[in-house]
Amino acid sequence: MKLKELLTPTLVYRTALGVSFILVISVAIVFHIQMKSLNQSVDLISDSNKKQFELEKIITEIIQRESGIRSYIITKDSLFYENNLQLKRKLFNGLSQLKTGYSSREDIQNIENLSKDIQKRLALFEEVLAISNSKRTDPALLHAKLIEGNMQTKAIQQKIYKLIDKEVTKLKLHNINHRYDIETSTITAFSLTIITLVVLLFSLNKINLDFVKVRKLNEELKFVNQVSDNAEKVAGISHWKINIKTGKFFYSDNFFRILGLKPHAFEQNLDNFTPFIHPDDVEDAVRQHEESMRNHTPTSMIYRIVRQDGEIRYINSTGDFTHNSKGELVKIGVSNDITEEYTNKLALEEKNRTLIAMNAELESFNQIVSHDLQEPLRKIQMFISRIEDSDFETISEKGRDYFSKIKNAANRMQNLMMDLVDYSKTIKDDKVFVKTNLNKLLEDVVHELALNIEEKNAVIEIGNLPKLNTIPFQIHQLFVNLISNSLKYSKEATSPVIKIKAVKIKNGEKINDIELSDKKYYKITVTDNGIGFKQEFSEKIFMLFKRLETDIDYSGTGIGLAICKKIIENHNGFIKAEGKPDIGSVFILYLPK
Amino acid sequence: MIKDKSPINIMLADDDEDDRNFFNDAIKELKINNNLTVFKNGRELMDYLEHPNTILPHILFLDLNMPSKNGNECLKEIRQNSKFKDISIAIYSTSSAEKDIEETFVGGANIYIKKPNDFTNLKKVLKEVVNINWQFHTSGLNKDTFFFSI
Repeated sequence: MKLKELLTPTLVYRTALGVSFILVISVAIVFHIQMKSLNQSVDLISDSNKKQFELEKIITEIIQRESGIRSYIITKDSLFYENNLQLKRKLFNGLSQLKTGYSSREDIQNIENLSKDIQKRLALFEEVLAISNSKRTDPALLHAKLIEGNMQTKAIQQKIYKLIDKEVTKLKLHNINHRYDIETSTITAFSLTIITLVVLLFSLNKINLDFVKVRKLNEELKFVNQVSDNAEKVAGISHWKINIKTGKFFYSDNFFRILGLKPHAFEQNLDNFTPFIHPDDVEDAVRQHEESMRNHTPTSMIYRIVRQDGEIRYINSTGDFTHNSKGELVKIGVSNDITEEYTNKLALEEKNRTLIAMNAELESFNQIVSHDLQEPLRKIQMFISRIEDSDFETISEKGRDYFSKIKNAANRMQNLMMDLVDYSKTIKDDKVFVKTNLNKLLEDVVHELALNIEEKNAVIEIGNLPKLNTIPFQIHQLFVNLISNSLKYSKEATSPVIKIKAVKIKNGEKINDIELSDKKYYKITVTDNGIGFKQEFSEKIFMLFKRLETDIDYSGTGIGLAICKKIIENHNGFIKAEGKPDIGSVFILYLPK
Repeated sequence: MIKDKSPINIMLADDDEDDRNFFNDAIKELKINNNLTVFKNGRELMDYLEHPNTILPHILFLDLNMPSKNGNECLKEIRQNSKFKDISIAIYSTSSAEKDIEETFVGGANIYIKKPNDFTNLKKVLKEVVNINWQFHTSGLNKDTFFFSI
């Protein structure tokens, strides 16, 4: 997961937060409703209790009155009977209070009935008192009234008990409902709380996990930064950033090191950096920078900086525009210390120039040899042939001898010049490689040397040769030189036999101590039965102008085999020679496939 | 074939006096019925050729390395002028450089002769070149037949 993703609040957090919020609100609402219903219950219970109490008080008052009247009748002591009016007020007060406590019509009706009964009873009390206080008391009537009173009292009591029972039942019922409500809402609240906790714990855990990841990434980033800083140090490179929106500059640690300073040696901005740029380069560099900042175009420049100790370093700075993670336009770039490369490049360019000049000189030398020197020589030879044709007879014996020596010297000089031209051709750099059929090429070579071959009565045996990527005219020259060489250094009494063969090289074969196992080479041998040479000269014969001493004077220039070596080198191959005096020599060519 | 009655018109442009003499001697010794006109440089040659009364040569031998208008410049001018389309041009130079051969071949010369360094050879070369059937030679011309060798 990317750092950016981790740092932005994900859907998980938002959902968890929302769910928790809703749950907590729900819990609060549930508790609120419950508290309200509890309050109502308390009101209901106290109301009911009050009613019961009033009802009980009423019946008690009546019973007390009844027993008080009874005691008064027996004792005639007025102590037993209180003020009738006061009692009446008490009773009706209680009744009216009860009445306000009820709301249903049935209950109110009941109370009213009760009230009537009580009034009746009170009237009966008065009647009993009146009978008892009369001068002539009729015991039978009194007795009857007392019994009637008792009956009424019982009836009232019955009614009151009924009302009380009703209240009790109502409370009981309410209590059951209320308990159920409390239980369910407690369970709901509890579960909601648990769920909220779980959700919060889950989010907390997730946050924790993400935090661990962020910390890990942070550490990795720190490590990567360290590695890149080290890499920058080793490679002499640095990087920088400019935030276009905020105008803030950032230079990497190595940027400062390149300037010869400790990291963050100055506050990072352009004004603090420009004094380090070489006075001759600063104007151009700043102009390019400002243009780039204006047009948002990439930059690439080389400028010099001057360190505090006066050392001058070459810096290659490239930069381009991009957007950062916040979508702000930033210019980022790399500044490399290219002092070594740059000075090397300058040196190399200088060398190249020298080389080109040398090549031009070689070219003009070539021109001199091939044309300007040949012209006078050709004329010398021409005059020689004119004298030979017409005036040879008139010259003295000694003069003729000198004359033939002049002729030989001139011919030799011509050969030398031609060979030198050939040699210089192999040094030129217009090397175009073409797939060449060597058998075909050798046909041409043999055709070219036909006269010479016939003259020497030589036999040329050519085996199966491969097709190779070569510079055809050079390989042609190579075989012309090798065959000419074999023809030239043939034994006088024996007709020359020259065998040319090719084999694919075996793995691990060594040539001049260089192992060729990793490349595919062909080994081509040119074997003759000529005068050969001592093995100790096998290197020397390829050197320019080196000629081996022989018994008979051979007209060599000492360039032919040097040309062969050059050509083989041009083809990334190797050449070596093996010789045995009076038996012959073998020239071995190794050419890459 | 050249008939004895009608002389063959030959021109040579060469700045080297010795070479002009060799050429003259060789032609003489060949005993060919000819009119040889010789020029010391390219300008002389071109001035002469462009003169309206000039009888155009059958073969022009052209040295390459000459002061005031070299052989290549002459070749170009001649081949650009349709008036000279029937002149056969033989380059006659000391150089056998690939570059010179290539350039003159492309420039429209008919044959390239490297100046021989033996008088007998010179005679042989001139005899052969003068007797070339140019129509036949030009129709089968390629880089190999262009460079003359005995």
